[in-house]
Amino acid sequence: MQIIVGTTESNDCQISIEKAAALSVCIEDEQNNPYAQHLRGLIKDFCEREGVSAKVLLRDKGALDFCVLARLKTAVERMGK
Amino acid sequence: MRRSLLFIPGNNPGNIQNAGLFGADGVIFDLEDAVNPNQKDAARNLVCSALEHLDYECEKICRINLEFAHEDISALASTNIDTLLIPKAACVEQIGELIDFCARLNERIKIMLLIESPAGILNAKELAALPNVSALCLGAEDYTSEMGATRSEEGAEIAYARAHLLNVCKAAKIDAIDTPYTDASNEAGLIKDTMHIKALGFDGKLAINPRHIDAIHSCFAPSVQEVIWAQNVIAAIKEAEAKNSGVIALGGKMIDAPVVARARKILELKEVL
Repeated sequence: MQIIVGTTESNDCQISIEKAAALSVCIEDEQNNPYAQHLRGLIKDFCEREGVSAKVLLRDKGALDFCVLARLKTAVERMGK
Repeated sequence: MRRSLLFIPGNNPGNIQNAGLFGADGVIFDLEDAVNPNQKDAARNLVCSALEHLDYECEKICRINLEFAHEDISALASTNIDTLLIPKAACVEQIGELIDFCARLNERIKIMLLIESPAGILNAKELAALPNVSALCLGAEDYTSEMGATRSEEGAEIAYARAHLLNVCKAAKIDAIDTPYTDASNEAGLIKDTMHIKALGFDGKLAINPRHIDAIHSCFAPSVQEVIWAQNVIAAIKEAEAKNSGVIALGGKMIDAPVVARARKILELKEVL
């Protein structure tokens, strides 16, 4: 089941997550987001540290790291490992 | 110093990342009324993450949910939060248990209690005496609703609550914080209300609008007349001491210890500002 956390308001982000056999991270509109590589690393590091195996989609609306990590943490908690 | 404590919605990243920019003496990250019931976990994680990653130069306060108090406290105990604001404080045993729970996880965290019911006002003395309580705050909207009263600009309907809470706080030597002024567009009303509660003896005021911060601070700043009076009091004391005079007077009025204490407080506040 897909879990969606966060909003598409400015300074926020939306994380969609669903369980998968392997971790995959997708950044929406990646080519127009100068922080895409950083955000991908942030999400991968968190998921690997927490042992999360899932398909993750980030819809970024200018979120700072603290927000991305919080939304991701909530999404993972709601999904259940 | 707690002249102004600004509420910040706990599930709004934009507001949270800018919370320290408004110059309030404290920011209150709100996990309670400002957050939808189905987003409590998201807000809790967002506030904890902000505390871990962002720097705030003011007092960092979090209003928790009474309903989810143990979950909120458990999450916040491992952050650098300064103070927890516990809402709907009325039952001494219930609040005492939560304070004890918090102290066992992190004894550094201070407690503020939001008194917003007739029962809370009646129990204010016992609530103020609980460990780690550093302030009582008045929440007038819920209080007047429960009283069946109508909120007015003059505030006669909360005069008793203000006076009782203030007396309890002064006796317990903790801060007394007044209810927010809710009309965002009426600055004249805000100034009148803040000057009134400052004259009563309140230490600060809750705020729900960043635009209110400067006005609140200007009300709490000592006036030119107050500073001149305080300087004259201190000068009169020094002169009397130099002359070994036992009786000190200024403008025909005797200066005693409470007057000196008030003068020193005014000058200390001027130095800080």
